[in-house]
Amino acid sequence: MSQLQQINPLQNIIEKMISTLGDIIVDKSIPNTKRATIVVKPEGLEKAAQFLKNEGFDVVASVSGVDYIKEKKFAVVYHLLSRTKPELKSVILALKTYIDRDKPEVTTLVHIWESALYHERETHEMYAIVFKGHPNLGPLLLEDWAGPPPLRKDYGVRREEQWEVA
Amino acid sequence: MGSSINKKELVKKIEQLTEAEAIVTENEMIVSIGPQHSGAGHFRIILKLDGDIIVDAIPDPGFVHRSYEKLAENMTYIHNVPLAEKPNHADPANLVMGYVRTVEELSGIEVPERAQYIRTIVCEINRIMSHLYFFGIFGIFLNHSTMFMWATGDRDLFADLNQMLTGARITQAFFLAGGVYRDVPQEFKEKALKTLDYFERHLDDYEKIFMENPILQERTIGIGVLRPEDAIKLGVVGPVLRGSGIKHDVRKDDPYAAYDKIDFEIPSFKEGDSYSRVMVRFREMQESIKIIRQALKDLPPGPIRNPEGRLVPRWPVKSGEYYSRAEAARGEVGFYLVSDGTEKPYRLKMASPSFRNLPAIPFLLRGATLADLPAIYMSIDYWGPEADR
Repeated sequence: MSQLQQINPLQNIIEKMISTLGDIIVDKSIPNTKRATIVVKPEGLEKAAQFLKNEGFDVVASVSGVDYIKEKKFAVVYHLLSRTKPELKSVILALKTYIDRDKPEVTTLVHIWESALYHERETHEMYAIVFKGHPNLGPLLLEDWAGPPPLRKDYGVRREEQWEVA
Repeated sequence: MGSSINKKELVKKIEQLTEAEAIVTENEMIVSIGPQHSGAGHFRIILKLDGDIIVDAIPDPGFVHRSYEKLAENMTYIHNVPLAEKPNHADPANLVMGYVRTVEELSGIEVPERAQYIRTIVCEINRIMSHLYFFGIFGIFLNHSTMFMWATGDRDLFADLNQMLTGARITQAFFLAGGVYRDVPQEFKEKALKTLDYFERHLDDYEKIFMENPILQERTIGIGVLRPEDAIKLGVVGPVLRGSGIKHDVRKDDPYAAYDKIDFEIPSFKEGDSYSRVMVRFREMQESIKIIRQALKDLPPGPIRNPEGRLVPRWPVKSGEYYSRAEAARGEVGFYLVSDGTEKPYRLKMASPSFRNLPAIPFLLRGATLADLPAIYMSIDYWGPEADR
């Protein structure tokens, strides 16, 4: 066991997480020693985030939305890094949750990771996913955008030949 | 005492600010820096000034947003190679490196060793070119026009190397999953070594006229200090992170290409000020010279492409999802790829280094003087199109 701890700290953290927060974890996958994905229930996202922060994941590398239009749901994925724990320096952990596409709401994690500030704002802009409690969800990259959230799958890209000639 | 007046209507015209941001006291005024490109990129910073003290700074990116992620979902994997490098023309190969690495690791495509070394060479040439771009712009912003001339001139020599090796001076689109497009030409090694020898000598002059210049030091040392705990909190990457004494570099932490077989150092400085961020880039150029020399020396024979990574639109990409990264000149670039097994990505997210360094700009500007803005803002090496994507 102690040898395993040295070889794969990621495995350890996930096992610990399952034993303490087992009721909120829906799924996990560990493709190799450097990457892992943990899927949690949306209501448990904050708890899971706090746990992972205490385990040394102190930076949000990206926040992504994924539109699973056929299943009528969104995924919100936080990719986490560690700057303070040297044994986790090669690790990227994905904290993922699925939310209802008709009611896209999830708790913000800005109070846990300040680095998520602009990433969540961008995800809100591109998917209209509401991060409850976020200090500012105003437009960031798009200006005067009146159309539907552009990264949703039901919004198509217009090709050049479809442009109207004025 | 100045009574608090709400200039919200006026302010609303220039930007959608939040309620709190739009309140300006009598002594304060709002100044908009940008978005006209003055060397700082198409980017606006809205400053709230009290005299010449910056009370608040609100970054406003998005002027060069090109909906990269939406386009990526509508293009095949091979068309995504030239798309991935478009956000940053100063540093294209390192962005593509992150993309092809993600595709390779998701699908389990092996890359021949020779291709790994060629990738390393191209990535480091791009890193030097990008840092030279930085030195030129940073120099001219601090009124050091010699630095601008020298850096821009030397950058051309590396563009020549790029042209010889990849066929294009910038935006090479040279990597594909499983390898690279072309082999190293016969006469490349000689020319590259000659260029590196010249550049290494010239870097000593850079140090004398620029890094040791008392005016530069006066304007950057102790200015815009980012403490390590703040660097972690804000999630900054690359030279900004290493300038605050945190030695994280994907090339060492999570090696790709041939970086695990090459001996090099990760420069970092603990002061966290503008000068140390510039110094990190300066030392990184010296390390890049070392890396290219070693890669040229150890360049193994063999194929340059895995036959799996074919030059056709239909790449064998497995369904699944994966996040991987590379160290670009501005820091770690991450790609999150969700594949459904078709010829196009279902979702491709680019977590670009400039976007991740964006929070550092308002953080460092608050409380600084207006005259320090170039020294602070330029030392982040923010690249507008890369942040907006």
